[in-house]
Amino acid sequence: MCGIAGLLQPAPLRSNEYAQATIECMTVAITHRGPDSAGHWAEEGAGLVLGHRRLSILDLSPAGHQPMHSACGRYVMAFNGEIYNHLAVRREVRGVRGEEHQWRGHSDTETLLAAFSTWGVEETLKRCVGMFAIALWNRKEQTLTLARDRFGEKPLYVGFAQGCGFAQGAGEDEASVTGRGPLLFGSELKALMAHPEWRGILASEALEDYLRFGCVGGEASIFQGVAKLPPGSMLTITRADVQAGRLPAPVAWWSAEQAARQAMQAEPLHDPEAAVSAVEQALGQSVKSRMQADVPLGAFLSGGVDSSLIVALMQRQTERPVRTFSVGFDDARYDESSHAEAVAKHLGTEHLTLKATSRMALDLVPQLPELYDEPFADSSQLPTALVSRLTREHVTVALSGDAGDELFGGYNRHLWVPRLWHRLRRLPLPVRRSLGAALKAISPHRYDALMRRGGKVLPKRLRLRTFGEKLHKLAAVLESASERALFAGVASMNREPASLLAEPGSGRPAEALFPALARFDSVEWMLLMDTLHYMVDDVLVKVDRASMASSLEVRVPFLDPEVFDTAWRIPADIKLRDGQGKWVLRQLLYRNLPRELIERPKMGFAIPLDAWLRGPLRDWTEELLSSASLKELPMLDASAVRRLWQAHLKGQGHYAQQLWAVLQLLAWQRRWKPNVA
Amino acid sequence: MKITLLSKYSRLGASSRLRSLQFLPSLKQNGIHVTPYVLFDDAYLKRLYGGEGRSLSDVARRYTQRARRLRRLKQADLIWLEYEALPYVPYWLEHGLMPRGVPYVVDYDDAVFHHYDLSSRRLVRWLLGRKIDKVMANAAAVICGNGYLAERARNAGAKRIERVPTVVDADRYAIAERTSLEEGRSPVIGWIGSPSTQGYVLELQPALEAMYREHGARLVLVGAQPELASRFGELPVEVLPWSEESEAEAIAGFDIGIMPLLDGPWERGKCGYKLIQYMAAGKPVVASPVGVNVEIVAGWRCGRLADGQAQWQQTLSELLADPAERHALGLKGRQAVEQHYSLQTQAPRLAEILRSAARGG
Repeated sequence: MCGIAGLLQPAPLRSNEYAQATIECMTVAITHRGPDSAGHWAEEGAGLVLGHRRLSILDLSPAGHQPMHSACGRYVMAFNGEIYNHLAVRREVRGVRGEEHQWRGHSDTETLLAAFSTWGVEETLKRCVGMFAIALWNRKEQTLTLARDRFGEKPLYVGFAQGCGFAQGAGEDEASVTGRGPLLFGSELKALMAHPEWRGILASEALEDYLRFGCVGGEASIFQGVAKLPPGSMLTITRADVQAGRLPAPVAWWSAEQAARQAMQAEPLHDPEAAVSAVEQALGQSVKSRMQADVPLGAFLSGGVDSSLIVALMQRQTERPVRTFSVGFDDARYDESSHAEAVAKHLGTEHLTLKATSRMALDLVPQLPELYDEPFADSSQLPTALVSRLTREHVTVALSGDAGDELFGGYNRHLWVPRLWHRLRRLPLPVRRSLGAALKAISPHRYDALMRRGGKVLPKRLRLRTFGEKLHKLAAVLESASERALFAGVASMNREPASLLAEPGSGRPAEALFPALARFDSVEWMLLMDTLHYMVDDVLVKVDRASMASSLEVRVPFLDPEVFDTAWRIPADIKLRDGQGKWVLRQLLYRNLPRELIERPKMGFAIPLDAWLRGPLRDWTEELLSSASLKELPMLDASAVRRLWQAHLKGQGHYAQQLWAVLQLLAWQRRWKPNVA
Repeated sequence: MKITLLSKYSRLGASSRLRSLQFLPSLKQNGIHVTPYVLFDDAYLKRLYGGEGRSLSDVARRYTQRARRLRRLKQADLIWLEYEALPYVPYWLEHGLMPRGVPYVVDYDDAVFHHYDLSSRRLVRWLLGRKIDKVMANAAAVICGNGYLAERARNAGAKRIERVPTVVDADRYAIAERTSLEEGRSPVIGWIGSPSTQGYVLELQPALEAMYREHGARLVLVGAQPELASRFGELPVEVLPWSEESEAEAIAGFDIGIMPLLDGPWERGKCGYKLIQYMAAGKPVVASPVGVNVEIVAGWRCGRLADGQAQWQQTLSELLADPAERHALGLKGRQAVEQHYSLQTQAPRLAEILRSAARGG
């Protein structure tokens, strides 16, 4: 796995030395993404520099060295990622061009370049299966094309060194990427920030949604005039665009919505058994193609449905035991390692439980702004970073079970929202609003106490750990005016983020982010929204940064176009069946594992954030919430933030997540010192 | 698989010890049996470090030995060369002595080609200026300790280039628990190296004196010549003798590890080994922004880069005043070692490189 960076200047480069010094600053900043080698290439007259950092066990150079030139001489590319089907693509190229094309090595980078020369960029990307971020310079046309994989597994930021304006994208006219100075791009913001002319101004418009979801989502970035390239899109830039200080809009070469629609129009998998078999086939193939590696490979295994299934399918592919890893916590409430061990034993993997302590997680907290150079506040970032670091001591590549929830309906909300809405909508909104107010009259911690005492009589799957918080969420649910609003509320970590801001919020309702789509029923719509938003902005960011910080490559078999297509051919009532999410995945897993190993409440990668903020992280928190520190971000309402903290300290509610978002923002500010307009 | 290692020195020579000899046990566990043959042994190095110089007849005898050895290597699966087989011998002769049909990999952790192409003697430049490039071009793989060396190999037309950093055995270094100074102990700015590189520290004298005045910081030099201490004037300097067994313990006594360098072609070819040692011991580092130092320090964020007296003075002063920052940087350094700069992480890579080179690519 690798990292890329580069720049396109409005004027020719001063000298080759300048190009080299500048790109070195940028690529050194992302050394962790590829510590094994570095390369760069410049076209002085065009003002272009491409840089690359590589993580590999075998650098088949010069044939594999990057940035790489196409045999035809037209293209130069810096490529971060993996094309899993590159041998098949190579055969196709051969089919078109015969022996005319001379291959120099065996890398997927070379395959990509040859394919670009054969079919052009867009057509090539459509033929490729993989995860990637690409910077491609067309020497003939003098254009720079940036492209990103279908699902957004590999990151790519692009913007001006002196950016201005909020780069929100989504087709809004005034929202394109604007600014002055050189155009910069890179796998992480760190690379852009390392450019000597970088002036990054904090985009205060991003804060409301950041506080709501705990991440800077969509095309926006935390800096003005800097954007994320959307998943499945490409952007072609000329020097004239850079001189004009305005980028054209990205073009989608693949769209999850379109792909989902196509799959829904194809022959549906109505028969449950057929659905399970189809998934088995597609996912099995995806796992197989992701197991091709010339480096030590393993898998994360939490013992949950998704990771267990991936491991079971991996084990089928090989005679030798698959190496699996789970992380065991010293805090028994959050320790899933015994489940993972039981699953591993049954599947016959070579399993290792990596021992993590609360201390290790706590020690990591001050390092988070380093890992996440854009504010990011999903607290499972801590265990994810730990398991990555510990896994990297044993393997270089790990397969994970991420995205199973988004494709097959694994979140509780996928079950609850339609059911609830179905019943609720019969009640007039004013009635629901008063019911909601009544539920909120009891504080979450009281509810939790009730659950502790009374919960023993309930069946296991109903014993919810954060009962109070969930009931309060339910209250908010009751107050929702539409199903979209209901979903938006459930997907938010803070329903009223504007209350923490000094200026009044945008007034835009949360559901504005989640557009209504014709011909999607409510479950289908939620799955797509989770795929487009929560997965891209939160899950994949978390996994990429946490793993790359430890130079570990994570591959996600669920994120494969065939698996996606199969998932979308399965009607929603089969995905969610018998009151359970991910019904199809469970059935598939039962073919490999006894039921009792799997039937248990979902834990996820959780940490006791509530208690930590009151306990071991209290000093850190107090210090970040000091007046001096809050003053650095005047767009926050300091007194509202402190009131929230006091309420949390007194146990008057579950505000840990909301505080975590504020704390990560402040810690990020302290580390990266953005200019505040 | 049987590999013949032709190293320049024995264990006493840092390059040979770090680049190849320290890997042998792990390679053996990986099923790769390496037989080492040294060109210059411990006795030769001891005389050299002791200032006795080289004896021409001794050198001739060793060259003859190596030439004979080369003739007998037809059975090996792979030859693993350190720099070149016979220093100062022209390529055509060395190449003629190498056994036909046995692939070789060659390893560089120093810009040894500058001995030839930047030599003050015209004859050397003429005869040997491109020798190393030819050695690189004909190798099955060139293993380089940093980007500068890799760039040279690339320009030489090497078939395959692998960057393998100079590493430490992470288990030999422990991170001390101490985060703040005990009462009354003055902080220690430490350096480790050999007499051949001690001059760089002397250049820093004004900054180091200021640290003594402002923070009471002492200087500890491991592996320098004892006489060097007297050249620092008022500044209290302790010179500790270097030994493989005691180096980790000596570094454990540092509060900051330093690596000053002047910028030049030689320096750009260095592999930052002392930084990696400091990092393994969980010490924050301060280094000149030269060559691979930039990548190690800025890339892994385990210390600071300082250029010129004023920056050195300011950087050291800031770090001496901030134990929490020192501790945090030290932890990152240790993490970088565990992740990248350790025998444990690089041995499997090296094994794979050797294995595939022997297979022919």
